[in-house]
Amino acid sequence: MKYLFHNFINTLRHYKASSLLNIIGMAVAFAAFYVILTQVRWGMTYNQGLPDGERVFVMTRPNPSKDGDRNLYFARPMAEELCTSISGVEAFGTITFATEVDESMFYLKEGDHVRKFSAIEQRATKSVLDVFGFEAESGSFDEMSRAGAVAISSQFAKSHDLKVGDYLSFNPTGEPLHCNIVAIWKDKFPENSSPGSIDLIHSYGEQFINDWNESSFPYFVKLNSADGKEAFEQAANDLMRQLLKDSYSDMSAEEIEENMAKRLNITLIPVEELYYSEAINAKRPVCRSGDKTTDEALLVVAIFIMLIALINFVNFFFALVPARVKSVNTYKVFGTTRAQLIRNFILESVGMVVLALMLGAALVLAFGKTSATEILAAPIDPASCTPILVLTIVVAITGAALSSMYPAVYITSFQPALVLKGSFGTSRSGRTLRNLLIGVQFSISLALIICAAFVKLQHSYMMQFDMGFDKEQLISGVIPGDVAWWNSKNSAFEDKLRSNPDIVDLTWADGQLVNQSRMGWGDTYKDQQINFDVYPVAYNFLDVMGIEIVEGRTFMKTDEQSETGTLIFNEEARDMYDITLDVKGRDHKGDPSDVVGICKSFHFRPLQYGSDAFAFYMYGKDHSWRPQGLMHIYLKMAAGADPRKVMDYVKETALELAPDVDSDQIALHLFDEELARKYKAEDKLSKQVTAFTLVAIILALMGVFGLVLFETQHRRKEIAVRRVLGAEVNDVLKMLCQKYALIVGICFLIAAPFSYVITDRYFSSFAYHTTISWWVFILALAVVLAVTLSIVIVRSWRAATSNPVEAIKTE
Amino acid sequence: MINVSNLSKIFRTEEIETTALNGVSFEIKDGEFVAIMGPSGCGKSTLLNILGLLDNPTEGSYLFGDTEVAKLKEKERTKFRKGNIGFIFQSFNLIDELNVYDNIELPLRYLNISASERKQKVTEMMKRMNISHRAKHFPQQLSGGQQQRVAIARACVANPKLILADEPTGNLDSKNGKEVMTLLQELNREGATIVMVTHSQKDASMAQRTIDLFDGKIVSDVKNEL
Repeated sequence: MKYLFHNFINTLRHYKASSLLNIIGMAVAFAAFYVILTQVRWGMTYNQGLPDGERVFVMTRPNPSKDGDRNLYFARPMAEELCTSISGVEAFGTITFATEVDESMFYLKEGDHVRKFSAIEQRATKSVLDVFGFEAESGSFDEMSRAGAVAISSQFAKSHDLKVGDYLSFNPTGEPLHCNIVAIWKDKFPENSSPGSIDLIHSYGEQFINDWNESSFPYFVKLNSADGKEAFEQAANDLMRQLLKDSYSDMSAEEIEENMAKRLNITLIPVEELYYSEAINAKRPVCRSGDKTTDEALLVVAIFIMLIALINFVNFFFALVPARVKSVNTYKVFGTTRAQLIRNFILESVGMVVLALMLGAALVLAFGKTSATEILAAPIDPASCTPILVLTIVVAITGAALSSMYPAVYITSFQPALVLKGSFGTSRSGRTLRNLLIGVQFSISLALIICAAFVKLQHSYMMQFDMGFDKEQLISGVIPGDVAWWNSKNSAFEDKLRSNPDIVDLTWADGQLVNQSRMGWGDTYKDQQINFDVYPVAYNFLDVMGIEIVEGRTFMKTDEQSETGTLIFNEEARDMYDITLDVKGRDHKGDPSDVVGICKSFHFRPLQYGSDAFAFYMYGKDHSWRPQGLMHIYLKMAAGADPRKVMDYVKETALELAPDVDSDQIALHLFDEELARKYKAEDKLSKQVTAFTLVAIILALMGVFGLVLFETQHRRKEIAVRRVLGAEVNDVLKMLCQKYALIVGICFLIAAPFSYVITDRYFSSFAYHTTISWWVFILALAVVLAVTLSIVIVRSWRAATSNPVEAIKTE
Repeated sequence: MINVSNLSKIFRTEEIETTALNGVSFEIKDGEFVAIMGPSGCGKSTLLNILGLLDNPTEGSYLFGDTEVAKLKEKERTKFRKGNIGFIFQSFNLIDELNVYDNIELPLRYLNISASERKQKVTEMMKRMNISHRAKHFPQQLSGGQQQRVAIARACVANPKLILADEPTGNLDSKNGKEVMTLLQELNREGATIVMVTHSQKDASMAQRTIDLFDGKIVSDVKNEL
């Protein structure tokens, strides 16, 4: 053992440069492999570790506007009726888990002092706590049946020093008291689970329990047994049929079945499948969602990186063959057996890998402390990713031991007599294998570069896409209810803003214009069921945003005084449902409402999602649904205005009018930033793919470096002979470059179609995407060629320019 | 054809200075076959490298024809060497990855000769050396004598003005060695100027003239009776 260790240290000392490069390359690869797998595991095991998770389902019905999509949202009385009537249900309840990290501000009054903190808050019924197996650490869930009662996670309680009995307020003054903490739950849920992603649950109590019109509640059901799924679905659908029969006595059996198939057919989807469920996540996801294709693609990238690293390992080993072959054969002459030599080489490789793993661990820890982790979705600390850590170690050591076998066998295969005389040749099969290995690296690198470029281009495409409205010079943000309410009564806030020459115009809406999910209404129109997204806005919204009216008129100030609300549908709604201006729709109270216009198509959803039926809505006189008024402001800036100054001005004006408002609640940003948040996942993916592609390319180029090192060492004599026979330096460089250019060219032919298929598949997840341009392929080829040939030229230069006499003499 | 005068070569390292050649002067006429002899370390190979324009002398003059080549830069030396000088090595120095045909063709490629002309010259040379049947074979598949014949073919294919041979029979048995020397004599008779470094008195005696070196100096320069 001591002898082996001595040999290992000697190898490191003698071949410092290649050993160092080899170890650094492997360390980077192991670190990247580990980090990628932590991210992939996060998605693939999302909601997998829930207590009795296999018995928990979410109730769904068809989405009438799109075949294949499922709608999760029910009216409370309907869902409660179903779940209480069907046997085999252990617990049921409603909760909407965080779909993205949206935090709410809370305030706690302690004497004269008010503490504020933000929390990921969700509203739920008490019963849903039983569905997911929440356990109270202190307090009791009994009081969660009361609206306004709050339960918080143990971690959240600790980090904010909160306890049962504390009263929280949504108001910066700490009053009035809105919610009462009645329980603290044990932190037993994995971070990558729906219950593990929230800090605070706010009880609905009995709210909406009898409201058949508010279909906004996803219902989770815990069955007595996972096998009871089909029985539940059967019973639920029988009940729905009965409900239709009872409600519409004139409905024929065919009509009942048609309604069932289109709108009511209940199916359960396991909570463990929610994360990747495309049918559910397409419109309004109920929890954090992910894209399986993306995670699988990242997994492939991780495998590629490991493969490249192991190929590098072989290449670096080969690079040292000409330098080490003599000493190996001297050992042979003095009695060391070939088996012993092979064993020594394999152990030496394992030693290298252990060093690389240690360095890789240091890299991961250092990376974890940088802001670069923002591109990651999951934590990377080894304590929470032990299985991935073990897997990385096992794959690294096994992979290195296996991949060192071939070069170990190769280097020990020569006849000592020949080698010691200074002559050993490389076999044709050996050369083919090495070229094949480097070819695999090039193919992977080219494919990764092409795919990464298209991911990046798609992101830019989405950011620059003509959304069908004017998003230039636009500031967007939320104004706190106090100011918005005040503004709805008196236009002083608006007037003050308009007095600023940097603000050209402004308007209000209920939420963000471009949003994946928003309020949806269903109605019967011209004897057909229609469903559409609804977006309440101020009268001048369409004008400010430059949305064109193609039929009828836009909203008018006088519409604010209408008894019922006013609607403007988009062209898609008109085409889908034959919307005409002479037939009324319905307002938020269910009363007939004027349809005053049809607006030109525009993109009200991020570009992953296609267009759909949509209506702008003006409330009219009755604001009971939104007593505080419209809280989302859009400001059009003058050309050349400084957005920062405009935002400060809006904040100052709001605080002047409502000094008690917490300035942190006034969140303003450029519209492009708001839009960018919609593509956060794509942005993260783009950054991840770019970062990991870069790692893969650097590793692949290190492999090229190793192989060129070997080539120039091994072909030193050949280069010298060629030089003696009249080859100029350029001829030698051309000869070496030609070989690598040919390999890159062949690899490009393999990688290009492969990348095309992957990109096409990635683009298919977007309703709108950029084209697969040929120049990206050519650019990738040019980049790889340029970098590779630069390495070849730099590495070969010395061999090509050194005195040929020396090389010939030493051979 | 070759006129060297007062040629010196000193190798310098940080610690040591070695004089390999010390004021060597001689002349070689067109069509001469000259053997250079001497003990190991006397400067034979250094002299051959300088004559072959693989290295520059530290001092002195080297006239190749009418051209002073002693101070040429590396790039100029390469250009001058092409087509003017052919080399034959003791260990043949054939390129393992190329077959017999390609090895012989190599100097012609660097002279930018057309493919058809190259083919004609290589084919003629293989016939001349009696190795046509081995055209597709790789060096490892040939005997030592055959490898040296390929090396001689490669040295001669561009019809150089000067052929330099560094111990051409050193790695061969006596039969093959004799064949190679006979071949060199034939080439010389056909007009080639040959300078050969050798340890073998017998081989040297087959040259027209023998120059003896000792400690970097010429100690004798005699014509051989053939």
